[in-house]
Amino acid sequence: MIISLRSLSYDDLKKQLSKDDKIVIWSCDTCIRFMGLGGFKNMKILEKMLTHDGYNVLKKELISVSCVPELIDDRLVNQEKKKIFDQATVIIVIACEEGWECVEEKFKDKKIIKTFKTVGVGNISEKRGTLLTNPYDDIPLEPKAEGISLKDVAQQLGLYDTFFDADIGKVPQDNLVEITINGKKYQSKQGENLLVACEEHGFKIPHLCFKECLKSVGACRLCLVKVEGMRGLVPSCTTTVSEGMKIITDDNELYKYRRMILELILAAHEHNCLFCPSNNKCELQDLIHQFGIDTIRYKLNKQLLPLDISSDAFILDSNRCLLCGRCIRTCEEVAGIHNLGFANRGARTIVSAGLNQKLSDTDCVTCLACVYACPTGALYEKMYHYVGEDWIPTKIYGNYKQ
Amino acid sequence: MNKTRPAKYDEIKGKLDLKKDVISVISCNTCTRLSNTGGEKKLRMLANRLRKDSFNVVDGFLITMPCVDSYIENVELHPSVNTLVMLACSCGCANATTHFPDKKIVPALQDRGTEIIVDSKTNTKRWRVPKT
Repeated sequence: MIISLRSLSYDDLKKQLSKDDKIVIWSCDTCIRFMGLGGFKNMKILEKMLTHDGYNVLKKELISVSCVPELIDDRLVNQEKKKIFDQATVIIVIACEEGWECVEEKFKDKKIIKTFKTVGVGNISEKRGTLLTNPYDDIPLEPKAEGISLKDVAQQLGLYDTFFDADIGKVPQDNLVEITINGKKYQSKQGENLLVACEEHGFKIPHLCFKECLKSVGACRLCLVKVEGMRGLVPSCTTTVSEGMKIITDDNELYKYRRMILELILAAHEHNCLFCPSNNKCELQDLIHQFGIDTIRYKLNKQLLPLDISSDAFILDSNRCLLCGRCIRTCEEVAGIHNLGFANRGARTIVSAGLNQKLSDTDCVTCLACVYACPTGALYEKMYHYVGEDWIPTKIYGNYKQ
Repeated sequence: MNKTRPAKYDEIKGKLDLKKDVISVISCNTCTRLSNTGGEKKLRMLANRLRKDSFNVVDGFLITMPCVDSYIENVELHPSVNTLVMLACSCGCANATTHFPDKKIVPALQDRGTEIIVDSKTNTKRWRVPKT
């Protein structure tokens, strides 16, 4: 894992910007997110801080791996993204120095601001935190197998082991309006995604197809809520907050619908958690536990679909797929490869790669963004244990899915 | 991405004991695979070569990122294994040392590091290599 630390304070960053600048915030979604210093959530924080201070942020651009130039190319040709990048004058890069260089190489007409300094390679651990084990040859630190904490590295090198919000304390909230959730009044940002707004106030709404960094499509229908004045039930993931909104996130009717949807998902294929590498790290499984589902009322489809094991890095198991489309949107929006899509129609619909080919025959760059986006075990990493004379691979089951 | 190059096979062999070492080969499946130095194929190749040279290779593991605890924690070694041959960069090996302190760790790769531009006008580049 590449270890990078913030090299600019928020004030230093602002000194490099002018109020006329049209800004794109760019973040890598691999090493820097694993370290907790990048990714969509941090981009959102920086956007809030900059807009509060009067800067013009055009877009937040999440890229699966910023140090792979092929992935950046999509941003130069994709019409929707190109339009925004053409307008932008500044790109603030939240990535390692190699990732920053790749952006600079591709967008030569823009000011590319480096915010992180890469200091070496190290380990990511839930218990021990992020640790620098092998500093680069130009860094005045010695290698340590047990690692050096980011705090110590930051102190010794004059860097920051936190994100920009640590410099100002509380992240400012602008354009707040009053909304009512389940009878109680709250303040939320005008135009904020309704599902996100409810969850920020502690109201958990079940969802499977929604991921904040991706476009919302309202495919799974689990996040349906009641909004006063709106006809029927409303998918909260595709609705935005407006002044005076009155929302009901949970009642008997919604519970009944959500439970039925979950049962239909379970009936569509045989979801056997016992043989699933995502067991205990599965969003569908969590919802099944939450709703206390132990039987399904619908006829179970026992037809088994073939696994695609052709990729060097991951496996596609259509039997566990909910058709939520997160992987497809991730491949399109975050990786920028557009390699995944739906094939067939109706009950025969599956997620497929390329022109319904094997993964290894397509343009997949194995950035694993789709794997991290999958809410179930339909996409999972190849983790094998090889045993015996013939070196036969067996899957490793465990809590490794990120 | 931390790029790597393969260590010389004789160097790897030189660090192993033909009689005493019971070996498990562990490969990273991210940066090293993209550097064409690790991954499933290289893991098989190295294990087969060691076996042909009469080393006692018991098993092998393909791990997405040995430098991240949540992955390496899923490696369950055979009780007889006392040596790990690592197709991983220096931080993968460091994590193996932390997780398996009683095992001999033999790196099968060397870090090349990351290539950075030193002078953008002349496009002069240099490698930043992790210290080991």
